[in-house]
Amino acid sequence: MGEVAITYRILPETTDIDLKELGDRVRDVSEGIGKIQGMQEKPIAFGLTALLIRVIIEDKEGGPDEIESALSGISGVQSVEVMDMTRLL
Amino acid sequence: MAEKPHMNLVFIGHVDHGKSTLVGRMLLETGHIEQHIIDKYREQAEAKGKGSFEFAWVMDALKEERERGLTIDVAHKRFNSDKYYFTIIDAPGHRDFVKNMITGTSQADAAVLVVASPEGVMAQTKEHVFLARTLGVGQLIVAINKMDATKPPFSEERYNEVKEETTNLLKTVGYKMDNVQCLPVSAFKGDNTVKASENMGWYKGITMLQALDNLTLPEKPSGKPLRLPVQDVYTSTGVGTVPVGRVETGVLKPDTKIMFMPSNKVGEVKTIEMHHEQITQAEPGDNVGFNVRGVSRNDIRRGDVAGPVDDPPTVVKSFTAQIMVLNHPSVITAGYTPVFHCHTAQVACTVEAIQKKLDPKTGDVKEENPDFIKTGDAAVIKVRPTRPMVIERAKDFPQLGRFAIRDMGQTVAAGMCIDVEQK
Repeated sequence: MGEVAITYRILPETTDIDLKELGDRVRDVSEGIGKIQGMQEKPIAFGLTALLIRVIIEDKEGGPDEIESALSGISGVQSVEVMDMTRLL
Repeated sequence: MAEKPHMNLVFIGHVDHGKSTLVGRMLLETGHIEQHIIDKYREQAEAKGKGSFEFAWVMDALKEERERGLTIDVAHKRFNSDKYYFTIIDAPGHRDFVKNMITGTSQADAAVLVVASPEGVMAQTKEHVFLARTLGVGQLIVAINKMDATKPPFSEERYNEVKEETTNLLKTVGYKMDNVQCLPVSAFKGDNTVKASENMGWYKGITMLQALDNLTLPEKPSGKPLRLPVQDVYTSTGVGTVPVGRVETGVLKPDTKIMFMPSNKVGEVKTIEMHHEQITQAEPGDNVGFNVRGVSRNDIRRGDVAGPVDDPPTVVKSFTAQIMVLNHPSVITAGYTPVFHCHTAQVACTVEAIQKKLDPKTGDVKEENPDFIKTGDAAVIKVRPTRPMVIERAKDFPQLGRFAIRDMGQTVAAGMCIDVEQK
């Protein structure tokens, strides 16, 4: 079956949002859906900083829908974008 | 030393047909598996009294390694051939990942389709071939794998059968065979991956590595008109309106006028930033934010596309598309109105007409104006967005011409725009 690594870019609703706290909420909601393997802040432009996360999920039915709707539902999240995706060896 | 030209390579095909093994084999044979991993497996082999090369152990070692080795910035496996350096995307097998392949991954320059010779073409092979076409991948290497497992082993006859079956499938979706290289390999044993195989004297063609070297670099999309789908719009104190997005084609420069469609707003780009640093121009693949004068935050939104004023993004009244139904519980008929995910836009669109159903075996039209299509069918349909939407012909702008169709929380189909009726 295998696993898939997806890198998401999470943009906050405003530049005032605390990304550390946002990161904690991301970990909370991801629990049980996928494994977060990396998280980092990524400066974008004009004070806006995104949160990049890398999630490992199984290559099976349902795919990334569950994790994406969980991430999108977090308070303070403006949008969730797939930056990259690959099956793992 | 100057770095070799880079290519994004996507591996497609059924998950059990040996894609990972082929990737692992290429990494190993081109010297891209870390020495300590190889040393570790050698020690294990010697400890067990087996001096021989056990490729399977390398694969296991890689699996262990990835648990520690992955970082966000170095997401991809990479290896070099004589001419290029490749980064690899291994396409997930399940069709529920198709939406992410279409809207999320960077443009692949070439694809390697892996088909296991004992099994031949399977449903997932068909889905992935269609996906590669939809992603706008023009060049394809077909690795007919597991040649060591045919009956009898390394059977020329079986190779030719699978080659013909695969070639027919590729023609169906419109691949030109000039851009396709078929070759027999055994990823597990190593035959014909980097060295010509002693077990296939009947095969006089090139190896996998040579086929990779024979790929040509696609033209850079920076020469095309600008297309930048807007991901989000922010306001920054003292700066003003800041749209954020990735340049797909063309170049974004300061002090130029750009047009946001379908919002139909013109603004002037003042400064562009990437990683919080000002840049003099943004090129395809760059994720940027830029401030734009003459446009307020409420004027534009996610799903808009920025382009030059004299060659703005195409807003369509309707468009014609080739689609493949991946997973629909019943049938799709005219009048169906699911959500199309295209670049950053999500727009409900009505299937106005199903014009043609295509025969997956030959690529010919199987039925004109069919009443319905169902899972597994490829078809040409006419589509009308329920609100203004930018979509481009996939042959002009592959990144803006491909889409996933979603309904009831699932990806039901995927496809690409083949013609547009402008608004």
